[in-house]
Amino acid sequence: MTDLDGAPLPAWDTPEQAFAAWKAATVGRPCDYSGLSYAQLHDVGGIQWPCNESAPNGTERLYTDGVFVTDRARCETFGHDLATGAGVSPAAYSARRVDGRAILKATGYQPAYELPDEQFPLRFTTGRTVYHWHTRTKTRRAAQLQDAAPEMWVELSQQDAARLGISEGDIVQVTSRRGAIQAPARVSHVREGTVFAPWHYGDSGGLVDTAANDLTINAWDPVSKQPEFKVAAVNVHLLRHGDGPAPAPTTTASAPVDTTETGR
Amino acid sequence: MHLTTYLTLLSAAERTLADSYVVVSGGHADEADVHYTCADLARQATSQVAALAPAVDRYADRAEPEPDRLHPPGLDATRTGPVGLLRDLQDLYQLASLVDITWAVVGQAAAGARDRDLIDTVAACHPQTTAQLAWLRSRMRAAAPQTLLVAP
Repeated sequence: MTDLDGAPLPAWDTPEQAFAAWKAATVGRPCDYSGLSYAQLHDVGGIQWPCNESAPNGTERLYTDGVFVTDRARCETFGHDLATGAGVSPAAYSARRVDGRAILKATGYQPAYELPDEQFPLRFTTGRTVYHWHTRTKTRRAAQLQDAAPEMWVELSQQDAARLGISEGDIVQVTSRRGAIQAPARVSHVREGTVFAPWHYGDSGGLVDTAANDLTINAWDPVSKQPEFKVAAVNVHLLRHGDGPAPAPTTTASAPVDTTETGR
Repeated sequence: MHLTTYLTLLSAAERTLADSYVVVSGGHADEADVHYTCADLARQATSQVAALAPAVDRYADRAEPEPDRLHPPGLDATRTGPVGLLRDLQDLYQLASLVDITWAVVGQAAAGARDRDLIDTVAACHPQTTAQLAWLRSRMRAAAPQTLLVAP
């Protein structure tokens, strides 16, 4: 690949040359770090932008003069309506005469996209255990991490478990409008009415479905587009009694309520 | 007085708009953002009907004969596919635009009548409709290139 002058594209061969090209793109912008060098990073470590001719050592604290980067001429975009994601037009932004003041945005309360009901009475939320990252592509290869949290589990509150006749380690099915997963139950300190599932175990080999995100809804935040993995409605059924505690870590948030259960 | 006429128009048009949002939300459930945003805007339009109800009641005894074809039609079915979605959003836009300018018209009359309660109601509700229009515009503009140039 070449540019119009016949010079090679991209115009760099080394990481430092790439860094130089990238920092040239920041000149005059709020994140200007055109003054930053490999030598400086090596000697000092982390340096906060802007780092340029007028702030050669970086800038520890922004906006100390109370002037924010909201001047109409400096803005490249003008923000969004938080409720719908609709863009704020340049004309509407100009009309507000923000003039260097900060903008604090608020929006009215909106309920979750899916709320518990009679058919799916429990609130489902997903997340991580401290031992793994996402789908464990790296962390499952670290024996200590994999051994600490080897297999799928789901967490129920003490109250819900008692109501559903579920004990520590029992195999349960968690069902939403979109799918179902099967896993041993950990009776943990999650809030009553809430079911927690880690999303690390989407690859059980096909024997049972353990992919927590099969249950979540297809929706996202209108501005950030962050997917809604944190609230869905589910029901829980006991499939069969287990023969030991769930394979969930006992040293973290998934610690059992009943401490006589040793877990793993 | 015809403020009564227009309060009736606004209330009915908001209800029609709410119903139309529900239709589009259900008909385009595979477009998750349209599905959830339209469901939310339906709730918003319904709450505006409720907010307007006291004014509708207060002016009810001063009704005049209504003009022909006062009330706008709503959507009772959705179209299919990307171009159908775009066209449905245009229908919503047309209806929401009528609601928006009707809020403005009623607001002018409320100021003329020095009706503080109605002025406050308009101030609370009208910006919501204006924001609905902004979302519809944004969503249609985002869909346009793919829909008009690529979609089957």
